[in-house]
Amino acid sequence: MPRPAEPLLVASGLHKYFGQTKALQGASLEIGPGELVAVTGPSGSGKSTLLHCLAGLVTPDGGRVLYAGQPLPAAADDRARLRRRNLGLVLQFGQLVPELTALENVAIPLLLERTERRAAAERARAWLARLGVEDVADQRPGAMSGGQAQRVAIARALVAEPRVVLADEPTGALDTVGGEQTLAALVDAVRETGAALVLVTHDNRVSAVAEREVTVVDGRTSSWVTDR
Amino acid sequence: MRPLVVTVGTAGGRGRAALIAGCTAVVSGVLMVAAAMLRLGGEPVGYPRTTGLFAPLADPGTRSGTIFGVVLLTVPFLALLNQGVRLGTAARRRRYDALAILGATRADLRRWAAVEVGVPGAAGAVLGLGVYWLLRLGLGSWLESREIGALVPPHVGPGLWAVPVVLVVSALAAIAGAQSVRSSRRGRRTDRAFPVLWVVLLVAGAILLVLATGGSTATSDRQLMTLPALVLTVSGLTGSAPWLTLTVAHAVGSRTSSAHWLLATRRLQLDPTSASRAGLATGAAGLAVGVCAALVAEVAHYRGPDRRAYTDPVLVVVALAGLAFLLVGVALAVHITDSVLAERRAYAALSATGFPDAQLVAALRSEAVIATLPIALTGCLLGGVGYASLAESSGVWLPWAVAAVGATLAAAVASSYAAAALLAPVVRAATASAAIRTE
Repeated sequence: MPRPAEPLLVASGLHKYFGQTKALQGASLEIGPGELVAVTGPSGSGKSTLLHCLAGLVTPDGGRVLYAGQPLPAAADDRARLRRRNLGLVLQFGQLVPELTALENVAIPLLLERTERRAAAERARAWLARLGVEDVADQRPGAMSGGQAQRVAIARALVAEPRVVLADEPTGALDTVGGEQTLAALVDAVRETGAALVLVTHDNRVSAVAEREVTVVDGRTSSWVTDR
Repeated sequence: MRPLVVTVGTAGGRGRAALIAGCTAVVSGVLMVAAAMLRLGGEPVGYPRTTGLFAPLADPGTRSGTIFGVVLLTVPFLALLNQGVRLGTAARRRRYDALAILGATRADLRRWAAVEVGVPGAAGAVLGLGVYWLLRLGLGSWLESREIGALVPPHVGPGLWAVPVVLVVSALAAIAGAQSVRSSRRGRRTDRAFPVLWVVLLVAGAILLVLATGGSTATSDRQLMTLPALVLTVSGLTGSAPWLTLTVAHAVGSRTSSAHWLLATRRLQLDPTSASRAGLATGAAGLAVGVCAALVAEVAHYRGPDRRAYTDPVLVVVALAGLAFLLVGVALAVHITDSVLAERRAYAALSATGFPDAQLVAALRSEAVIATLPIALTGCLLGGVGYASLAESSGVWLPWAVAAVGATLAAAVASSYAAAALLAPVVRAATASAAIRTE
């Protein structure tokens, strides 16, 4: 598949140190609109750090990250706003606020954008229905299965219809069947919205759904790229 | 190898033990001051100057009210003790669950928890003798030697009468520890019935309090009535507080379109008890402010030579109420910090998805406001209206009542802001991306 001419999200020459540990050593990545990209590599290779840099959660010590051609904002609140509107995030563990119901967890990004309560609830419910978890809308995370909680988290990441979804081991805490179903739900939902998807994983079955695969080893992205 | 009871008993950490010991030391010392005042009996005490700020202790007519105020002073420290006992609830629950799987019975767990809290609590209660000695030295002997008066009886004990105080405070700590097992294992409740029994106690206490402070009651009867009235009122407020907090949280949460108010109210709905207990002392402080306002209204037009005997102590009580609100802020910060750290991964993930830290701090501040404001207002109205309704004076009390309510509300909000300011750095650290775990 030919790479889009204008990438939406770009990381170039990223370096990141945690004390003496070199997490990233010149990692680079480009994500085009609507692309499905898998970032693979062994544990501790720097995949998650790369994703956190892309999301603006971690500030790299060197290199830069551009979204839509612009550097990520310096102010934390501006980065938070960018994530809320344009970068959906799906993580591996414990993502949902335990005190809120599934519906409220999904509605939170909309309420932050000052969407009226009833309208936010309607949109959140629609997303829960699209991901097949409408029946847990009024339940708290503690009462859900791992797969249900992960689908709710996906709904939360997609409810604002971001242009890029960043998923860090989204099925890592699920069993094989639950993982496959959740991954299928994530990919389908992302394709419906036309968003790009970056999947960080060390699972070959997960990376197989991507159109392109980038490998990270010792903090460096591979010089070769697999286009499917 | 250390005995299991020692291993489990010290698992809570030194910081928690120090907080518990500190609180019981202050509670024990302050209760000894109250006990020393009680031992003065119904006779006047001839301090060099028995008017103005120090008259309440010298005059048996106002002594019962002074004792009432002194005992009320323990409430914020008891609230802080409660938070100390609850610190690390999530970790403790995991520890106890692991021990239960290994075969520990509920009685074992209760015993270990009682030791975990009871030992530092008892140590603090004994240290209370030192606190009392310091208070007696500074606010008793020192003031008396300068012919100013005395806020603490300068020539009373501590003697054998202090032993029951130490024992009661130690037992209180041990019971709080044993109870923490129940709250750790019971999990959280989202439904709560109207607390009929506690409201009955509250009303009974309020009636007794009004009778005790009423002008027609003999001095000896006042002293007999004040302490039971106090116990009933504080018990009633304590028992009713979670319901009141939950009801307000439900009312606010079902109407708000704000993300931070939604988060605040849902946190309270899931666990109203911890926050309301942390905020409980505002009820006692509000009660004191309400009574003071009614008292000031009564003596506002009085120009007698002993006027300051009434008005100066009011300033002391209001200052102490302010201190109570400040302590409540600390107790709330401890509680909220603990609850956020227990769920730090979820909050870190929420922050990662674009929920600003400032909104999270605002949510926790709103939670503190709901946990303090209704109960402070209840206390203020209870104290003010109750006292004013039986006052014989025809003083104009409405402006003072409005001022008391305004001051109480402002103090409750200020203590919530203080709590938020204290916990903001912890929240920012807890929501850092490092808390997002990937395996």
